[in-house]
Amino acid sequence: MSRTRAVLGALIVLVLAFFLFVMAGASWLKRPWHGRSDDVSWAMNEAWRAIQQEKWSDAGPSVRSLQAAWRQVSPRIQFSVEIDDLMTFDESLERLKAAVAAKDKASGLVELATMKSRWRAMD
Amino acid sequence: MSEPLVVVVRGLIAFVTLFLYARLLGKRQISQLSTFDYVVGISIGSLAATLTVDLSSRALPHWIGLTLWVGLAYVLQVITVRWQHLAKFINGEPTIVIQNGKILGRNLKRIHYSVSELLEQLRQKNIFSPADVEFAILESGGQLSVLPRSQLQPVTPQDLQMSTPYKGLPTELIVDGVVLDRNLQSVHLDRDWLKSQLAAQGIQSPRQVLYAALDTQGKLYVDRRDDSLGPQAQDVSDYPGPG
Repeated sequence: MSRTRAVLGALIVLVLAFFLFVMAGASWLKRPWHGRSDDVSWAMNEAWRAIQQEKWSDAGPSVRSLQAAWRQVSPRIQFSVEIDDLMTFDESLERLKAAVAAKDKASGLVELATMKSRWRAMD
Repeated sequence: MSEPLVVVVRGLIAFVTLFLYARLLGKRQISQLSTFDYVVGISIGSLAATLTVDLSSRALPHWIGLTLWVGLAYVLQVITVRWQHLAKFINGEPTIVIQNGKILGRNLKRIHYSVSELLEQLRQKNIFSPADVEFAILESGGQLSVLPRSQLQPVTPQDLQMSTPYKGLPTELIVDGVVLDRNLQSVHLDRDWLKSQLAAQGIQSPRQVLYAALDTQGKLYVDRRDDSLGPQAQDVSDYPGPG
């Protein structure tokens, strides 16, 4: 009887620990799992460098790889972050694409700064 | 982001957490809840609902809030069991509201309880006059306990000095066609005995039985799955139709 209770107690603790991981695991879940293909942080830095140096031929692919990385990471972290952070990141990404298309350095950097701030908030 | 999926996952977390915490808080019945327990229950339910559908904030703070409320409620429960003086402060005390047929107005005023509320509760207990009451006590959970005048209490075998046989709890032997072997063993009987008893009542298999129990007098009660009552059957429906 006491063994059953111990197993049950351990199971309850495991379930609650799993819930905690799902709710508080954003800082771990947003780390890259598949190299650079889902490394949002690296992709943002690449895009920043390209836009700051006004290398528009590099900025386009950087933003595309940022979008691809974000598409992989956002489903992982959606259970542990605020919906507003996710939506702000999505909107900034769309505006960043437009800024790169228009070769607008100032707007591009503003959007990237916003995205970096939202990214840090998703912890 | 898939909002419905997030709501489903957060809802599952809230539901399972609430279920586990409710088990932790124990078996207090709704009718035994004090006002504070009631408020705590509502707050915990509200926190669980917010955890499920408020996607504008992260799930973790709501979950921590839920855990904190349950933890504090648990601590209060432990305190009320271990320290009587604090229990008196936390749960309140029962109050005598009628004594020897007299309504104690001062006590009613102190607990903000009206005479009409008192009379209503008495009527629910089939008492239509405070004069018929020896003692009425409003329990800390809000229920009214009533001791009617001795002249109005039903006569018991003890009053008539009659001896009665012991009547304990019956032992369930079959539920929904399934024989409960552990219960059979506890009364030192076996399946062969059960089968012979059922055969004596014209029942070939335990699967034909919905419920069977053995009382402390050794009498076996058997209810068959077959509900047909024959000529005794009564239909309380007045009109034909679905239902």
